[in-house]
Amino acid sequence: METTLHINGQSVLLTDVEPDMPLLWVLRDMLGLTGTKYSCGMAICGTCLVQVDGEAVPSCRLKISDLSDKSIITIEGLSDERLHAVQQAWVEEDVSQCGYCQPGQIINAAALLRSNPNPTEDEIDQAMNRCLCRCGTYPRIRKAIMRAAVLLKEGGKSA
Amino acid sequence: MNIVLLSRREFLMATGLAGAGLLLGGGRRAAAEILSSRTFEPSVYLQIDRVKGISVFIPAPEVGTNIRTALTMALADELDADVSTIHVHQAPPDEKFGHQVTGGSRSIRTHLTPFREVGARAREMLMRAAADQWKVSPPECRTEKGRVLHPDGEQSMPYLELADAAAQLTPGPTPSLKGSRSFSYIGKGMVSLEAEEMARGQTKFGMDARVEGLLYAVCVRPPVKHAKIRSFDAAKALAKPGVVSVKQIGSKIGVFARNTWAAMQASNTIEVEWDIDQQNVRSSEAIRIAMEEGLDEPREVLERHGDVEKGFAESEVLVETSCFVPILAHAPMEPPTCTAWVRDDQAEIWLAAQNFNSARGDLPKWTGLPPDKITVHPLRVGGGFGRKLRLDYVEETIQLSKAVNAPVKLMFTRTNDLRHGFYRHPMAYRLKAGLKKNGQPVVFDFAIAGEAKKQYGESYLDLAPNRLLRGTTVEIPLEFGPLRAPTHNAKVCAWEGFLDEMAVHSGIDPLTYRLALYGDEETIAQLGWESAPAKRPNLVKLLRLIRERSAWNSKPDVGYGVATFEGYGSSIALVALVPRKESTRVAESFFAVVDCGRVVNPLGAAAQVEGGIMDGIGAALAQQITLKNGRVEQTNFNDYPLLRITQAPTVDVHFVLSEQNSEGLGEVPYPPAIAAFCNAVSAARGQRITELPVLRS
Repeated sequence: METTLHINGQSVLLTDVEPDMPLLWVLRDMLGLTGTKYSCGMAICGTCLVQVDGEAVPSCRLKISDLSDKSIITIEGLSDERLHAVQQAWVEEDVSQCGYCQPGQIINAAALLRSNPNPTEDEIDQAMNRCLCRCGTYPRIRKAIMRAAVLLKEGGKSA
Repeated sequence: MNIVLLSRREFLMATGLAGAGLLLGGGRRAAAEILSSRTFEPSVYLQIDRVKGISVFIPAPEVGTNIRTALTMALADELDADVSTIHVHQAPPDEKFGHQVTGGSRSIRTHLTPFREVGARAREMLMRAAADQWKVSPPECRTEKGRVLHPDGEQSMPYLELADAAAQLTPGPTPSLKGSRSFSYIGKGMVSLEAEEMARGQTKFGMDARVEGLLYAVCVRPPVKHAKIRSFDAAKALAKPGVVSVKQIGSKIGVFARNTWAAMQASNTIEVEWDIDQQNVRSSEAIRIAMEEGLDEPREVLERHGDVEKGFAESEVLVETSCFVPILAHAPMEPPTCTAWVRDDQAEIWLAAQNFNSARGDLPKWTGLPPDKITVHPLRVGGGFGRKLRLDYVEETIQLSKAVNAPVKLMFTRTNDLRHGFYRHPMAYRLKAGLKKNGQPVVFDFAIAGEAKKQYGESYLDLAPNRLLRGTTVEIPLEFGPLRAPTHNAKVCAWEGFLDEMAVHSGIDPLTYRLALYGDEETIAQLGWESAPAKRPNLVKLLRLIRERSAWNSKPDVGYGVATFEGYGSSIALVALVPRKESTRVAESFFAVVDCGRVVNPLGAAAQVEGGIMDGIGAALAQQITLKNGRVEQTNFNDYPLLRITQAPTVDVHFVLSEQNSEGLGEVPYPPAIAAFCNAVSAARGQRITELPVLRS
């Protein structure tokens, strides 16, 4: 099969690829965009989230055949030289421990703030509940999202 | 498979090195500058080079404990250099780097002083090198952020320009280290040096190794311990697009493909006829029965002290409780993974593991090559928790690479990870005590089943003058290994629950009861005890502090649970608050008071405590591995759930100010977090939790 994907503002033509291959493995194995991680493979841990047309979606269950004409943003595409406000807040709150799940967390948090720029702690919890962290960084994730909301209001970078 | 880039600009995949942040790995090289100057290398951990700048080599693998930041801070402090100018490298496995294991909460304990000494020694030599050039006496010189300052207060020289001269000096005795008042980094919270790189998704983890011509492998493994392959049919697997080959390697079958997806899908289609030893076809129910029988009639006496019969005859209150803790899996977010390319005359290994010490000997053995023919690229580890102390997955990758004569990345699926691990042993406890009416312990009679080892309970046993500890080892057809705070993560929950029961039966508040047990004179006098069962002044101090910080037992709608732990050189007290009314947020808050000696990086240290608490609640709440017919039943995070953010409490962490040696931390909060949570749930429910996970009891 042949398909064109739009990833991080670039268009990529993939030829000779299985239509049911999930986006995760196209990103990681074919395009070398390894910032998006594997952990469960059944869309229940949030580690592999990417943004598709602005919504955070697990890439491990996302067939590439369903993705032409969609705009995909991975963790590598969330920022340029300047960090996205969520990434900036993640640094300032020193959220990451092992760091492995954090790209998914950040992608999800960025999508949350786009649809809800002023989330309450409860709304943060509800939105972030899909993302697991074995290191237990949850208290700092809450703080970082609160901080990112402030940074965005002060003119911080959004996607 | 072809990839055609439609855009003129280079695809983003090439931006992996963009941005600032930590310069891990190669570092930046000013290639144009050709200088014949020597690198100043006062230790294997530090290089100062006019061109390459200052580089440190961190011996302990980084699995998320932030060791790279902490040791760089410590060295930079004594060197008097700006941390942000230092290139941080992960040292590959090599004896010259000393202890290279992230386990046993040893990294800071082992490496902190050597790293500070290296920094101090280097600084002294740089000052000497400058003084020689200026023809002044070295002690008259000072340093400031990477420069030596002339006594005249005007001239100065950067370290980098002194590297060549310093390299030619003979090291003197190690100068005395800084006092805490002079620290510029130690004791001050610093964001991980890798925070930005991680937030950008640029950090390379074990799973992110990329090699030209790479094959992706997923293995089919024995479903029951020691099962062997009788025959298998790989026709469907081989028919899958992308699959390159299927090979049997011992009792495993490796599926090799051009991408991970094809390998994973194909591995599910292989039909295997297994040769299974019926002795290993056991189920959790039967194992549980064997453990209960082990408690009824313990086979070994592990400790006997005083007169147990007399003790019970003299007791006025009898307390009995039990506790069962299940099998646990590590489930790091990054499942075990490794990449290797083993050729006849050389090998490359992309290694993400907690144990580089064992890799030193194992890699030559497994590759069949001498150490100088093996190049190791150490990568960040996406969580370990003890799982990646075992290098089974590295050995397997090497075998796979040899089998196909190509570079191979081994991927554990989550199901592979949960079903083929090295588990935390299940344990059952039956704890009996005889007390005086005022609560003072007279006698303990304990039975344990699972692993019968003396180490279960020694620090608690001493609390009664008469005691008997007996145990039974129960055979379970699984592989067991260390998981965060091994043995403690089982026993502390049982014991701390038991202490609560003793307190309740004596009509004493559980926190007050612990103060008396650990020798608080005031409480002992209040309760009318004859003497202190134990002298643990540090725990008394922490308990008094946490009583205040947590406003202990002040909210009527909340169950409070307390637990303490001493281990890995450190002491900790935790209080958990669990709402009496059922709530998604299973604990509303946690308080921690910690004495781990001098804290190098309070921000990173607090993360370890926060994380240990989350991990403990997650384990206590819903995690268990069960066996059916010898096979692990759990498959993924749906049936082996980690704590989620909606369930997570707020956490208040307080470190006691200390000038003492820095001690262990990573494992310290985990056992008491399980215990404090269970005690708080028991208080909230008005009924003792005697079986984990909580959600099944």
